[in-house]
Amino acid sequence: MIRLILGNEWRQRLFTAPWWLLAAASWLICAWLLFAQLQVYQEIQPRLAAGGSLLGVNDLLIAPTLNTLSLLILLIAPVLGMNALSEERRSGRLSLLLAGPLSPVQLLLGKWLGILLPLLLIVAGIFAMLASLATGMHLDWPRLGVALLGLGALSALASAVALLGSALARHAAGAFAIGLGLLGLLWLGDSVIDPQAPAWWLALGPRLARLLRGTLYSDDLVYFLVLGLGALLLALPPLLRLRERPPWRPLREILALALILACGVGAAQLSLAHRHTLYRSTPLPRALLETLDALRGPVTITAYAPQLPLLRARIEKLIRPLQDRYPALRLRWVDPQREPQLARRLGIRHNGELRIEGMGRSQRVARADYPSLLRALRHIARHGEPWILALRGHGEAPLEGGARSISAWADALDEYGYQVVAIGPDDPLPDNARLMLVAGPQQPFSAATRQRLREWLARGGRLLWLHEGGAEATLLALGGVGSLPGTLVTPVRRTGLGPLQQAVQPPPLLVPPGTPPALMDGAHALLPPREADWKLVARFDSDPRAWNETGPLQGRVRHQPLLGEIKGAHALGLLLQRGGERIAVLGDSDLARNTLFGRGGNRALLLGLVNWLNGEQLSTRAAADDLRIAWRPLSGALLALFHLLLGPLLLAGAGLWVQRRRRRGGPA
Amino acid sequence: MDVLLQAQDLRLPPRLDGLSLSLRRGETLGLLGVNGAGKSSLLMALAGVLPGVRGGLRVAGRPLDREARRRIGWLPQRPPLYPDLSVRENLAFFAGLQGVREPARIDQALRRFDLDGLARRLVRQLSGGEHMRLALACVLAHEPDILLLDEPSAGLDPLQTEQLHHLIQRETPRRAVLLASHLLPDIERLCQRALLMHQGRVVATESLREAPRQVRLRLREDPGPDALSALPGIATAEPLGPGEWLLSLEDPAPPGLAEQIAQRRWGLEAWEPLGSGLMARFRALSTGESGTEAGP
Repeated sequence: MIRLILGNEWRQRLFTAPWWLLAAASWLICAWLLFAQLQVYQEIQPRLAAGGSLLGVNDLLIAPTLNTLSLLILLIAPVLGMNALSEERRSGRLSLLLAGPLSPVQLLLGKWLGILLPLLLIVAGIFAMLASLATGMHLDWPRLGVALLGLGALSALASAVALLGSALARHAAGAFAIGLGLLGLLWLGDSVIDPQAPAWWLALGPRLARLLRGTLYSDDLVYFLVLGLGALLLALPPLLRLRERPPWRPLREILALALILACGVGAAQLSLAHRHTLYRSTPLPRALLETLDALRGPVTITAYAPQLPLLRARIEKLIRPLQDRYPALRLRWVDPQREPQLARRLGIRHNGELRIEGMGRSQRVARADYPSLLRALRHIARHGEPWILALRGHGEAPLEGGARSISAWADALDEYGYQVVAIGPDDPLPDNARLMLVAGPQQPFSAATRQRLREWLARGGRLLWLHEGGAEATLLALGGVGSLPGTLVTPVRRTGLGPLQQAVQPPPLLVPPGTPPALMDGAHALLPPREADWKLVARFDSDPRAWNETGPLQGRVRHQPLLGEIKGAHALGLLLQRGGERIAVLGDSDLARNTLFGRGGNRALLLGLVNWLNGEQLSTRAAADDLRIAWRPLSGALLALFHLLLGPLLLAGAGLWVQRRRRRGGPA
Repeated sequence: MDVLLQAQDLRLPPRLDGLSLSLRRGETLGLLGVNGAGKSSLLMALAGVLPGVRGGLRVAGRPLDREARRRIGWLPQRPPLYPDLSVRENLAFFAGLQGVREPARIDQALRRFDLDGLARRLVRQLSGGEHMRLALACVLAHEPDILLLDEPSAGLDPLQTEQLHHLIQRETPRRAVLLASHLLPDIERLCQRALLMHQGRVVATESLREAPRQVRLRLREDPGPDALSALPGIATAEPLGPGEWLLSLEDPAPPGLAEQIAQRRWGLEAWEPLGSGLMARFRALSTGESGTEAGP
């Protein structure tokens, strides 16, 4: 029966011109906006690429088109649904339909599918248009998939609400007004409802925004399911009243309403308690998630940004996943050009600076990225500020001082939310320390210190060892890592660097793509562990023409195999893992000292090593990988021609042809 | 004959006021009454689509459940078909609602109602008679035992009315039929028994079996009594006035008589079958006199 009703609706839609014209208009609107934005994007693309923009085509082209499409769905559904029941009632067909064995529930479901499927066809067509861009762009397919699911859920809900309007109204215009009004209320809910109020649960905007960003919460699925079912259930009584005897059963309908309300409240409670993400396209670092979970009460992030769309979009993209995790986090905008005194009083110096307030504390974030936000939020939450223990007492590089110290690195780590604390061989180990840094020890460790370090690792501690040739026995004992005698040298004329300098490219596990090579000076060749229980996660090597020079490093140096000098790609970095234990060893400590810390990719490598050891995978700064548009001008022109002209014309022409042919009595 | 439809004390003030009736297989019962008498309401109540009606209703001895609904074919006044769908699509849809899905049965129904040549035509392009034929086909495709017809000839010209009557006569013998109309000729031509309704009540009932069969005829041309009497099925033709004739028909009257007269090019303007004394009582009711209450 449902299929029969659906088939009848389907024929009425597809065999008449209005649906085709509607589809053509939707296609044209989306294509027009998409290609207008594409034109602007192509103009600013070089600047985006040069500035390492976090936003690519998926954020700047696809997302706005999906937003437009969602608005179109809210408009089209009432148009498609306005006749569904009101016209049947007005013409007298409703009684005729219900006089037979067809039940009101079957009629309702058939009508609902009759609105939903033609609507989904339009959505699918516009998705096909977006998918065609993949010929020259890097589309985020998982995100698009979740967005498609979200728009499907929105279509289902909008169809149910449109059907409700049609069930309540006597005329099509009234049905359209009711449907559009209800959907508009849901859409604008987040603007008019207090976020702390229970009715906030009804707000459609934030849920849809999450889905369009590629984040799928079970909570949101429950929302669409409950509201869609609720609308269908509310559309049922007008049909029952036409047929059932006695037609009006207040008790039953009150019970049905109570059931809907109970489902809504129950689902809200349940989903708040068991909120989890099924798919998230922009994963937050675990440390940030833990920090967000430790927040209590409302937290406000004030972004001091003028009306620059790109800047604001970048900040929004950064903050939204945080809001998804912690809904009490609100983002508000202050335009420093309009409120210069406020900005000056708060010490705002750059556009895009953030100020975070909550739990009675406040923090300023000069650079809007996740590491900086993590640091600030950790401060706000007073949670999980991890310490890095810098071992002293064996000639290690000092934490403070001049060019030979590692103070710049310590400052950078502080910026990313880590606190570096010096510790002597016999000092007690604090509870919130997880990472031990041994930066270039010169003297051997005592047996007791070695034993303490072994126990530290066994308890899940992490070790970062910057090797300078000293305390080799300890390194061997802890991780089974040895080193070749001498210092690595490379012929100068081949590399363009100094003879003792090595340019190494760390693996993508540690640094974002495009990071320049790290620069080491006087490095030592490492020997990976032979013990099978240590898993070698990654290694990075020297120039293959390098050898370990065992002689004096003065005057002319020459490769002498007979002295044990080996030429080849020697290991300069090793990442090792055994169960929960992690050790990272670099064949040099100079790259961490102030003299070299800012050179090449040293900063990125050292921060990446700390992140890997802490299991946080915090990217220092990664430009979007979907910035580039790679199609020839002809391909782009053909796509634009098809989507802006041929596609809509074909749809409109097909509709007129079908209608004309049917009026002549031929098959459609 | 088995009772297929039994209604007991149906009430929905002010539309129905304690109305009872029973209908047997093979019986065609007419419901006569002025507009607003409650004829359509009664048919809707019997079809199970009148909200709030009280009283007892049984279809072949069972309440009006899903199975019982399948045994009823209800043709409402000005049957609302889908104007943008073709004849075949409408028929397939309405027959499908009653469980008839086989294309062969749809084809058969199209042929039975002489619609096979119009199968692809949109309903909005049909004439009144074609529209009504299609509506009948939709209602009868699943072969219901009970047929409820509400003003089937409303808006049709005499020729179309004659064709429709012929169709209805052909389809009624196997069923129980209740036909509502405010046109006495419809009732007299098609029904064996008639109920006169007024203000939601049955005020008179009459058997039409023995009623003399006469037709009041209006023609633009004057063919003369001999030419009229010469037509098969006409016993006598008496002039009533300029262009008006009273025809006495042989019993049984041959089908398609009106068609034959129309084909003679005498300018057929009206074909009004006259019956028993029901017309007098109907006139009395419509002018305000009350009738005698009677059971069916």
